[in-house]
Amino acid sequence: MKKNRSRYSWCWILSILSVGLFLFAWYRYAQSGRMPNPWEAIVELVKMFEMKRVGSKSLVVHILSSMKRITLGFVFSCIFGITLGLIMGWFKKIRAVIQPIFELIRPVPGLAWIPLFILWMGIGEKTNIVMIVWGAFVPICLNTYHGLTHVDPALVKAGKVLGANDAQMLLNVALPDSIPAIFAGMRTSLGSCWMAVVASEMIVARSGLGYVILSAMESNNYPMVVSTMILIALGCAIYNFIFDQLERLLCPWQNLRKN
Amino acid sequence: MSMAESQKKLVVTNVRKSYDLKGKQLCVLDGINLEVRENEFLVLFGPGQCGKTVLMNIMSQLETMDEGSVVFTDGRKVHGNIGVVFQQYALMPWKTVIENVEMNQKFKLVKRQERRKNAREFIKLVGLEGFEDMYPAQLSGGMKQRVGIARAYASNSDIIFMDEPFGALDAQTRYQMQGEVLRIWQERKVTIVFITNNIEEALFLGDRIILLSNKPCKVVEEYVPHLPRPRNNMDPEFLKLRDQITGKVDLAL
Repeated sequence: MKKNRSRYSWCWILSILSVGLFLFAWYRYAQSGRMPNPWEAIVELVKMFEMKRVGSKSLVVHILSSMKRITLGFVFSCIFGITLGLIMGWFKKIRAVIQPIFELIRPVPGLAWIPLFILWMGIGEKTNIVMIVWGAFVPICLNTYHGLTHVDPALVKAGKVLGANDAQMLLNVALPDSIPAIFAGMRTSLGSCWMAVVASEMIVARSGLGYVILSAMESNNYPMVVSTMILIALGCAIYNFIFDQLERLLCPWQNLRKN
Repeated sequence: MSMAESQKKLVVTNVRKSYDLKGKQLCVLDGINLEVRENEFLVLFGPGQCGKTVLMNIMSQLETMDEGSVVFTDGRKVHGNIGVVFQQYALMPWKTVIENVEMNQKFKLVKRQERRKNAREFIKLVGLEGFEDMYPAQLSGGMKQRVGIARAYASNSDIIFMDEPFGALDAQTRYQMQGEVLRIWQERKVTIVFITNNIEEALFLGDRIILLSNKPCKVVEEYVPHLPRPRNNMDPEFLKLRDQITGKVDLAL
């Protein structure tokens, strides 16, 4: 383990090189005039922060409203996904009832539901959040379900002889053993939260980064489109970082090696 | 009731078990009869894959049998009131040493302070003081199995099943753990049913050794080594008994 780390410790140079190469390729391609170059995008980004209004509100308000939607959507996705996955994974009879409906509805993408959601909930915050949850709860639910149905049989045996009843088995054996799977699902779903929020803001919102991209496009301001894309990428990275730290905090036994 | 009767802890009568293997019946246990006596160190010795683990699973009610009976003479509810040490440790990786050891008491809703005290006592007994808050992934194989033993003892049960507990350890650690399990047993007398496929281990540990045959598994012979403890595997008596049992195993195969 340690040996590998030192042997590959220079690999960060490759990462720097690849980012440099990407920026160079972008710059060269931008010379054709089909998109703003990196520098223009950065300048535009600074300008956007300085502007009083981007569309209807200031950029900070747009960023905050996107963040609010993602955070709320992600939290609801976790609650809803874990609960449903738990029910499906633990109670075989309920699974038999829910699963066929779930499998029927699941493949229809959230975007296709937008007309119905607008019909039911109008254009507003509720529709945005439901759009996000609709796509994001699925990986959490499936991973929770899969984790609970693939618990290490040796640990189940141990739990049994130690005298665990059903509820104790779930809380002390099955659920903790499924945590890596649940976290993997949450990670996937965090990514789809960002996708869903941008898509839904383009259609059913008057604020947020998706709305900024759309209004920039409508006014032919392509530097603004690209700089908003940069903001989205940054936001995604920050959320992933926070999520990593949270996982490390909540599962201290993961990544442990004999020392 | 004779003395021998009253000392019985567990009686296994005519246990049969077969599995359906692509339509073919594979007989694993072919009428097992044995009894386990109070505070003895009973070794079930047999060649690899002979069905020892199935027998243990049946005795600890982790599997059902086709025929026969397994009776605890005190009629206890088995799960929660026996100790089991598994070959692959089966420790919860997300629980620390002390949290693993206290599981049985936690399931029995014993108050935290009390169950911690109980767990600490057995952690000390197995020599893991100071490792209470470590996770299993931070421990060596031998130490993991010490946790397994402490967890089995901390059920406060008077009978502990050990299914090839040292099978996954290297030879050196294995010898050391054999000595340890004896020391622990002599300090805290309980009934131990120890399963192994290692003749030296069987002779080093057992008050009684029951030799099992391979496919189907049957009781072949019972040995009571009259050797003083601690036993020495170079002792001529030890070697004589070893040859005797090995000869029987070859025949059984």
